[in-house]
Amino acid sequence: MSERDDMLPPDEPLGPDEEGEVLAAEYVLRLLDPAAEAEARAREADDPAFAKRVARWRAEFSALDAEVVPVQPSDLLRRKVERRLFGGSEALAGARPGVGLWQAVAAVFAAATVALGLLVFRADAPPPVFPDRPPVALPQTPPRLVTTLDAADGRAAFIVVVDQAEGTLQIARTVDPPPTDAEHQLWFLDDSGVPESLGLLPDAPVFTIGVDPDTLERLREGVLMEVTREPAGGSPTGGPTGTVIGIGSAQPL
Amino acid sequence: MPGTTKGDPSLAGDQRDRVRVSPRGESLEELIGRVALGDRDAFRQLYEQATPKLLGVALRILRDRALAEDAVQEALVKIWHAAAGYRSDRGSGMAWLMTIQRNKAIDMLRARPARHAPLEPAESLADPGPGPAAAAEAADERERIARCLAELPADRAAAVRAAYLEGWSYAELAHRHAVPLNTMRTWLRRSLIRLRECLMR
Repeated sequence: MSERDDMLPPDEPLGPDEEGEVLAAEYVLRLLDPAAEAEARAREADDPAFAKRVARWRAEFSALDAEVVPVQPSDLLRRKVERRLFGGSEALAGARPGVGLWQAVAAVFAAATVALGLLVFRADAPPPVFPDRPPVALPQTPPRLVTTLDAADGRAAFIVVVDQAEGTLQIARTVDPPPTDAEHQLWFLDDSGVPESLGLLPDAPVFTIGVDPDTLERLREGVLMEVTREPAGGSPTGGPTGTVIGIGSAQPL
Repeated sequence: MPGTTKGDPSLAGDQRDRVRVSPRGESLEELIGRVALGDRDAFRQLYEQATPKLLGVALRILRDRALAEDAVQEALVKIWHAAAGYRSDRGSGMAWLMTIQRNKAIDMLRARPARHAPLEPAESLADPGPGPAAAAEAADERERIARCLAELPADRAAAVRAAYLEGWSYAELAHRHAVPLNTMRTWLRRSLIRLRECLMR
């Protein structure tokens, strides 16, 4: 390939801008040795300009993901993931030293049977629902509604789960919080035709806000919700005034 | 106002045209948000939608079915715990999942003894081109990076692709191309500059 070297720029030292750009690409491609990689990771966290280069390379290269051919996983993988995240491991932890092998095996098997239901006996069973154990954050108590608040680009900006039983809104934020001089404010609109505030949103990626029972009663299927950007302290008018960050209608979960 | 059921325009005016009315949109971005809230059903749907693609990339990097499934398992566990860190304004949900998967697979690859890849002549690195299914998926973005890679000498483009898609290190690339490590590093760094210049055009 030496005859084609003239197609590339002459081998001169890179400028600081190019150096940062190449380092970001090498970091994304995982070409750096462990020490340099750790350094780049720290820089990604501390240096917004570098983080932006990294994000841009990630986005560019991710277009190549289209070349990856999907492969169906074994059903064993689903069961392993299920058990690891949602149950079964407790049984292993509970098998104390001194318990005989067969007792331990029986305990694990019993727990797996409970967790996986008939799947243990029916390898060709349809994909199992993840076992109905107490969830990490959400009680599985109906009725619940979910509203996906889409940003202008169509991607989800907020996910709002209305939990009637708990009287709360559980919210995941998938966009950055506003700058310090602004707020994200959540609104809903029902048949009354007047948008009403559900509150100012914290900066955390996941949070819960309480809703008074009268308002909760009005959060039904089809109700519109939106988040707008408002001045510090919230909308001065009592209604939405700023840019819409995300909007969507409530659907049964 | 097509697609909405309410006629009152006082909420966000024309923004309401964008309101999703199809029940349960179930985009990956939405699913990741619900997973951040601890929603197992959303995780199960995410598993159905994304796992074949995750296994595809893990298999391409690890070249071993059992190892690749282990890598997918690790990635899914991380996805469950790290979903709150996803930012939809920085990239698609699939790109986020694939980044986690790719990094997990490469971590596993590097934690193992050197992979027993036979030394192949550089010609075999030439990109065979995407299969029909992959080609059908081709988007503008992909065409852009593909066009820019095509502006590089073929072997350099193949090296960049192999680094991204197969997780090859400088040392492996140097070995495969039968050039000294520093030469490979210089080649690739210069290729990345060229790539950036092209992508910015």
